[in-house]
Amino acid sequence: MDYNNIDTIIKGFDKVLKLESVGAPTPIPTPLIYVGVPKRQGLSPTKIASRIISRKNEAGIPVGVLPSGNVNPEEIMWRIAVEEIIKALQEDSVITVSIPPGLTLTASGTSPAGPVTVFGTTITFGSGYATIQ
Amino acid sequence: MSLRNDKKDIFTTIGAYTSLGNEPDLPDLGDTYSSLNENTEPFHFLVETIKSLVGEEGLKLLIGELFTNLLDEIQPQLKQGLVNQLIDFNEGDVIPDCFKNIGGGINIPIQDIDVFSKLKTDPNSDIGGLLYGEGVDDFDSKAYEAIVADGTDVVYGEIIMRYDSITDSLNFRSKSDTISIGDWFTDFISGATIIKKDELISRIFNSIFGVITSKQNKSLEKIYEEKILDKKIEKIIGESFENEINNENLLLNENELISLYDEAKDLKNGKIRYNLGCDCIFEEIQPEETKEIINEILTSVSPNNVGNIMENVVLNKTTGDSELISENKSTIVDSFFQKTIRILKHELIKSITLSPQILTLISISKTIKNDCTYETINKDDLIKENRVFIKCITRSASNEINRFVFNVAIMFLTRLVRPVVSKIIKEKINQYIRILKSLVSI
Repeated sequence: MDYNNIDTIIKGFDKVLKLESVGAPTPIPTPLIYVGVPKRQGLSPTKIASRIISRKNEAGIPVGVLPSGNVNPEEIMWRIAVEEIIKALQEDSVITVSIPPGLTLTASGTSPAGPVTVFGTTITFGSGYATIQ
Repeated sequence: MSLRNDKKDIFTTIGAYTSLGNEPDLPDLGDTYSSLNENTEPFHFLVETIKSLVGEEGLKLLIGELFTNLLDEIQPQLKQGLVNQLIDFNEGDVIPDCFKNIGGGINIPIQDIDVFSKLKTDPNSDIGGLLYGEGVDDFDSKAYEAIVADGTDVVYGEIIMRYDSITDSLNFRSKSDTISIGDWFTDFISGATIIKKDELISRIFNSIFGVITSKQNKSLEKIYEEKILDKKIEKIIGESFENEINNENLLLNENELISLYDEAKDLKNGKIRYNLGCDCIFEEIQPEETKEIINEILTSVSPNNVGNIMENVVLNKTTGDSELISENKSTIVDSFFQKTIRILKHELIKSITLSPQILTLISISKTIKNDCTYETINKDDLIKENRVFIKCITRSASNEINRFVFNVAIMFLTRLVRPVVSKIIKEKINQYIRILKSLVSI
């Protein structure tokens, strides 16, 4: 390593600071996703905002109405912010799913000899879209 | 929605974009970290990285690490760098007759190798003790011995030296007559002491407090001349290694020369003025006191203790308005540490480029290549004539010093990152468990 080269030094620090190898996610078993996800309730801005507001005291910020009895505008702002974020995720986000080749399949078709059933694997990449609810 | 609401949306959206477009003036990091505005030389950036990681304590610990471990760690690499620079196309040739023990030797005037007037100071005097350091004999102490024993051979490693008081020059001969040029330089350097730890610390104290120079009875002109040499070395250290050092880069402008002359005057009077964040100056420090501090540093094995010793030095030796000093304590200590670290690098590079030992080796190498004809160098041209050697050695030394500081920075960085890593891992495990629970518990 050339320690007279500022770029090399910065790369050396970056290697430690970027934590690239830390915390790669463990894949969730797909059958569990297939069974579990449809039963979820979906995102609720009100629920998220209320959870954030209830945790404000963890940061030393008082929760609830102002001493004057008025609603705290900062808490209203949290609700608005979360609503906008969720709205954007639900209405504007694009989720593209990439399906690798190698999926096992069973297909049926016809041949001059009559109907046939084929067992095999996909040989090309597939894709699909999804939405957030 | 009503038209009224639609219109309201237009106004509020414009307001939002206006607000997002007008970013507030955030404080410029360049004011806090001056290395952001500097050239590509990474040393200052490395030091400021440590400062940003652990603050003033980090600089204190870095000074401790540099004073206790740097020299031991980098001396082998420095020696290899010197060997690489001094060995040339003629490395396989046997040393020429003029350099053989049976030959006449190479005569080098003292003034050509002793540019900082060290060799005529008795190592056993108060100042000499600081200049030469204690412990094993080195080239400089042997050269002094040769000067005292005028006309008598004194041996140091692979070299025999003899002083001639009439010409005020030292004569150098190789101990062996059959050795090759390459082997001679390799053997000499591997057995030589490049710099002693106590000598280096003394010189740092001299640069900061003028403890040696002010007591050496040097003339103002001599101190000024040395300051100019120092400045030229500083220019080479500060230069990007990618740029070619040319003679124009080494020229000093009028303002620089005036400032150096003022510094020389202060040094002559034993008082040095620095901008430490307040109008404060360092009190004069006596050689005996310096020796005590150096001994304390040398006997401390913990870098932390050494850092504390240096902190006490700056706090005890800063004079001026006591209220102002107390208010600016942190700034003073921080400036002092940063200055000390810079001086350490500067003095270390000076030791391997302009010390009597190194200048002798350069002179021998050049004389051998020049068919045994020694050519004296005008002092003003010393840096210019040796600029390639100085630049290459500076590059090699800088690489080692930067590596050392980089490793200290990585140590602090790892300490900072370790809890974050463990937090991320915990976070990921909890996330996974939560997702699984949310999928199965419904």
